[in-house]
Amino acid sequence: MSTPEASPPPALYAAREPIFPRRVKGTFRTLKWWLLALMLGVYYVTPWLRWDRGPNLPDQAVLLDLANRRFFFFMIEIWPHEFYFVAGLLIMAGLGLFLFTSAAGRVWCGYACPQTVWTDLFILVERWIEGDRNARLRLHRQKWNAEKIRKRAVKWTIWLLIALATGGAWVFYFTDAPTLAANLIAGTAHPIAYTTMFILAATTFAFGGFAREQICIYACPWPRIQAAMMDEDTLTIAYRDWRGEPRGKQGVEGNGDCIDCLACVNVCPMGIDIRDGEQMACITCGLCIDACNDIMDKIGKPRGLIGYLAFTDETREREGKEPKSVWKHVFRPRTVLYTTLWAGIGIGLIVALFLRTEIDVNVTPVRNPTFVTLSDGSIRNTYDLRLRNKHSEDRWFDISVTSEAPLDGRSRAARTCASWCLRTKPCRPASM
Amino acid sequence: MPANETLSASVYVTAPAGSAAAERERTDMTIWIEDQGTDAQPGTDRVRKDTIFNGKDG
Repeated sequence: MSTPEASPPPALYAAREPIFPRRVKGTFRTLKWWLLALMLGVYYVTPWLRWDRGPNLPDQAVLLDLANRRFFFFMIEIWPHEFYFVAGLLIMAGLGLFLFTSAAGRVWCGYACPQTVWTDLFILVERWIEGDRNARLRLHRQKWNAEKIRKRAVKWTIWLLIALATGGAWVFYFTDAPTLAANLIAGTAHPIAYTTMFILAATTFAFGGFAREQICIYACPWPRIQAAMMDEDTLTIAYRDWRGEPRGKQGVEGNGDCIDCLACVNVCPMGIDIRDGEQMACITCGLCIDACNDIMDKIGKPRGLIGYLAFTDETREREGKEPKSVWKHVFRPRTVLYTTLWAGIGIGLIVALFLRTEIDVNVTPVRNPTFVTLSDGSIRNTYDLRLRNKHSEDRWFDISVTSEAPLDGRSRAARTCASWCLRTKPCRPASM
Repeated sequence: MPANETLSASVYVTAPAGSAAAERERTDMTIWIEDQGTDAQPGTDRVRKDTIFNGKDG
């Protein structure tokens, strides 16, 4: 009896196909360029901004002074014991992310995530050196020759310079930028500065230049988490298949508006086909909308075959009804709740900022022993005191002690300064 | 006290023999830090820290 030959199991691994997004023009692309310029500008320029705080403090506007355990942000100075400000800002950042995801899907991923921004910048350089999609595909497939070596060398050199500038800008946030820049060039900076800079440069080079969409698909947890913040009213990018299908040649009876030109696929930095439906790899960057609108203009069809659409709108449109207004999607209980929490924490932090004093005190009673009986019978307690002078000039401080005790043992509500109330006089002890 | 510095110090509080605070197990007390300012400019801040004084019954 013969047994049929077992077919080999299907491969579970597929090598990555490089993606070469085509250039596109349109509203969302323009918006992305502006945001890219703004965010990169803020990142690279901020360490070089100066802010005069007087003679005893650094003049860098934004400085994470780890050596002196201080965070400077323009006129605001945060001390280690005021870390709740940083915690509050992180909570606000998280809530802000929830708010934007709930209202408009993965706008963070599509427009503001560093991975997206630097990948966009690297693709811009790539396109400038190697040409648009078809030229880059051709170069990718051709064997190594002088032209390919030259173009790749120029591209990688520019990527490397960008990556070094990115790592360099990061370390400038932690110490005086002009001084560190001079030291880095002279080779006299601290090894930690070089190490940090090179690690960040290497990750920027690898993630922005080569890994690209794989970081979003395989490494980033956010695509998995974001579903919890989205509901049927969240705006995401969708293909109006009831209008576009069946796709095919224009002018053929029965065909929809989609002419299957693949423009939406060719511009996608994630390499996906939005017509397959909502998918985890989509970062909702909107470039497929721009590409499709451009094609619709050319073939004389109405724009919006691909667009920002909520699930509830899809149902309404399929029934021939008008979609809800954008504002009805944006202002709903979930987003109002996120906004209220976000604003509440923000207001709380601002109030705390204005109410804080320029001096800060911690007092800890010494408990071993709790008291000492002196030779004259008096009782002495010791307290460890930590006093922070947050002013930018030397100051005098007066330490005094008051106690409360019942006057006669009958009225516990009576409060007064006890007979042993102490006050250091003169009030300028030399040790302070 | 120097600018932008943190000072650590021990504060000794003494209750005279026979006083209420010396005899009682615990007495509420407050340590006040008052900013006296600089030589040129008076200070405005005053900070309090509530704590306990332990008497000999403690």
